[in-house]
Amino acid sequence: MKMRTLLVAARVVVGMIFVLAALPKIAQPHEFAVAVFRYRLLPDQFVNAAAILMPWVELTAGLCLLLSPSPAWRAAGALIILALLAVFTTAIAVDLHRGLDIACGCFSLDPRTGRIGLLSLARNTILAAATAAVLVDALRADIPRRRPW
Amino acid sequence: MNPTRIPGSPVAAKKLIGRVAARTLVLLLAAAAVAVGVNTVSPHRIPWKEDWSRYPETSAARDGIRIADLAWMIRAVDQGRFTIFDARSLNDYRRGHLPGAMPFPFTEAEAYMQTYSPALIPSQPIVTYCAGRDCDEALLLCRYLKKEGFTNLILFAGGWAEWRRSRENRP
Repeated sequence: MKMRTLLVAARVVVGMIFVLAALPKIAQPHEFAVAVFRYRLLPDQFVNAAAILMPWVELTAGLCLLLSPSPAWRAAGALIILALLAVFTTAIAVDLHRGLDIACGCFSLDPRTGRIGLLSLARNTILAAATAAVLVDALRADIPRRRPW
Repeated sequence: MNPTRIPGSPVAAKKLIGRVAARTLVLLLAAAAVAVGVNTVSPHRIPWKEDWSRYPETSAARDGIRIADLAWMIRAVDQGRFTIFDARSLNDYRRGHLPGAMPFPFTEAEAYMQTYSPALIPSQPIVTYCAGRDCDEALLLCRYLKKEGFTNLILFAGGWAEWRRSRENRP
C-alpha cells in the first residue's frame, strides 16, 4: 500500500513537472529557441525545430502520465519522459564540462534564473529514477496476471 | 494455454514491447502534429529555420545597438576612451579579459549597476562583450543598460574568443 502511494505520488509529481515546464516554452517559442541556442549543441537549422516540437512532447507525455488510466499509455509517457531527461541531462553535463555558465531554460525562460549546475544534474537524476519506477510499475500492470495452475 | 498469456514468456514480452512502442510512437506523432498546427496559427509562431550564427548582432541591430568589429575594438582599447564591460561570469572574467574591461556579469546586473552607476553618465559610450559570437550575455547586458537609460551602447560581438585569437596570432 505504501509503495503504491509512493508510485502514484511519483507519477503525479513527474507528470505535473513536465506539464508545468512545457507551458512557458509553448507560450514563448522564440525565447525557448534562444534558450536552446545558448546550449551551443544543436546545428543552427535544428534549433527552432527543437524549440517548436520539444515542449509539445513534454506536455503530451506529462499529461499522459497524469491522466491516463491505461498502464500501456502511462508506460509510453514515462518512456518519452525518460528519453527527454536523458537528452536534457547529457546537454547540461556536456555544457558544464565545457565550462559554460548558461540559463537552464528548464522551467523558466528568464536568462538570469536557473543556471545549469550540479544541482540541475542531481534534480534530473532524481526525476529519472522516479520516472523509471513509474515505467516499471506501468509495465508490470500491463502484463496479464499470472494464472494459478 | 495461449503463450501470450504467460507473463515472462518471450511472446508476452514481445507483445508488451510492441504495445508500448506503438503508443510511444502515437504520442510522439500527436505531439508533433499539434506543435506544427499551433506554430502555423499562433501569433508567436517562429520559422522552422533561422540563422543563429549572427543572432546577437542581428538582435542588437534591431534594438538600435551599434556593433563593433575586432579592428574597431583594438583601436578602442588602445585609445582607452571607452567604458568596457565584460558580461560573462566573474570567474570567466578573472581567467582573462580585454584590457581595461570591468566585470559586469549579466546575471548580477542590478548589483553591479549599483556599484557603477555613480560613475556613469547616460550618454557615455559603453562597450559590452561576452564569450564570443555564440553567447548573448553582452546583448542582454546592452538591453538592460538601455532600459536603465544609457543611450550610447556598442556590442563587441566577437567577444573574448575573437580578442584572444587575435592576440595569439599577433606577430
